[in-house]
Amino acid sequence: MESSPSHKQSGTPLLRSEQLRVTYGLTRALDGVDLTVERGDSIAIIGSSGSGKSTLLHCLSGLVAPSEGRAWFTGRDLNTMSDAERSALRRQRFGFVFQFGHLVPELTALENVSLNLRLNGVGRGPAEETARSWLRDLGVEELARRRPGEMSGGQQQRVAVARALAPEPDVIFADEPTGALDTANGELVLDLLVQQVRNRRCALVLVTHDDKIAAYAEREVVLRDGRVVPPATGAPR
Amino acid sequence: MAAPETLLALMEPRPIHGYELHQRYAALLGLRRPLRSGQIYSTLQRLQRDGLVTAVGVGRASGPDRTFFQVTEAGTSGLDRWFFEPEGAQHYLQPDLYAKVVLALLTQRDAARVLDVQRAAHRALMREMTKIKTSSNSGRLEVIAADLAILHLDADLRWIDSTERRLANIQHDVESHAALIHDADNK
Ligand SMILES: Nc1ncnc2c1ncn2[C@@H]1O[C@H](COP(=O)(O)OP(=O)(O)OP(=O)(O)O)[C@@H](O)[C@H]1O
Ligand SMILES: [Mg+2]
Repeated sequence: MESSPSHKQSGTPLLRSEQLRVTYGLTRALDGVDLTVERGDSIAIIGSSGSGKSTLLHCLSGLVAPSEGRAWFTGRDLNTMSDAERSALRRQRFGFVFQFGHLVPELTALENVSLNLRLNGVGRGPAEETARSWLRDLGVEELARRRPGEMSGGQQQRVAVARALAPEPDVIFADEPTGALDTANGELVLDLLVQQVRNRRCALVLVTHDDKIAAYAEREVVLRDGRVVPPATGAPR
Repeated sequence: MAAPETLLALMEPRPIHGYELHQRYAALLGLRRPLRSGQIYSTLQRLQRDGLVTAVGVGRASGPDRTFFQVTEAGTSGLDRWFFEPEGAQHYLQPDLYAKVVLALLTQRDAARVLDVQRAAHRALMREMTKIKTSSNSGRLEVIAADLAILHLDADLRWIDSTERRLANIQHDVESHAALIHDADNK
């Protein structure tokens, strides 16, 4: 059971999954997960290591095909799309932040952040201008000309956040997005993610094992052994 | 919290009347938990009785008459002591939650559920505090007050997780203690 989001909307939800199952050999990474994410919603997926958090995020974003069950983005089944459609979707409508930056090693910070904008058809000048302003928001503007190999882990992660947010995605998928950051920069990043949800009414799917980070989301989905744990109920009235 | 020292310190900078004191408390300290004005006036009476504040006249800038209070020398030296006495850490040695878990085990209630319910409540409060932190309407004072709450809640949450993992062992300890006491009583 999941609680309903605070800003309930009519119409098709942004993301939805039904009975998602993922099996790796004998491991049931996900074991029947139903989820709905509306525009303006932010959810934290929490649970201990190996509980299926990343797998769920990967299924919801079309990075991993479920063994059973389905996942939709704005009503479109992610697994009946062509690879080309899925990668266009990830480039244009989704933004990804992972624990390790996953930046393109050959490109500078500025080029990394501009890349998806350019692929989405934005001209070079405006793309770089947007990229620069995101780098500034994340406090790494002075690294614009450096390549990932010339940055610290935390700097790379902030560049990766800039890259994820620059195209103004409809859904931000963040898997331990502050894993490489100190407290101050972690708060800066989480603040930015939350502001995106509030200002642009996009959605945030935030995977973390840290309660302090999960608290940035409006609601939480707790996973245990690939299943959603129902919320604890208090004393009988 | 309405420690008399708290109100005393708020009054120290200059003479102040009860209404203003109430407002100052709300602005600086009462972030999410305003004090009832009755608490202010009863504490004021006590401070006056103990010679820590004294009435220094009645003003009527606007509205009803108001008695102004000033901190006395005794009040100031009391504050000097209070500020540099560390806060008691006793509170953390046996908080209610610890007792509740042990007693749940002793009375054969579902201790895991005690923890689950508390965890949910802690997380909800943590979300609320985080919202204060990220709201553009919050001032810096609200942010540091929220941070203090968040970090304490986080410590409790970690304790809840680690206790849950050890529940089976603790159950055993509680039972053997209870058995020992029982045996001793029967001798
Ligand atoms: N590609 C894979 N091949 C085989 N098993 C996998 C694969 N990916 C994940 N698993 C298994 O699926 C389960 C869930 O993994 P997942 O990565 O979703 O966990 P998680 O909750 O994200 O954990 P963590 O907090 O450690 O990142 C684990 O038991 C893991 O070993
Ligand atoms: Mg993971």
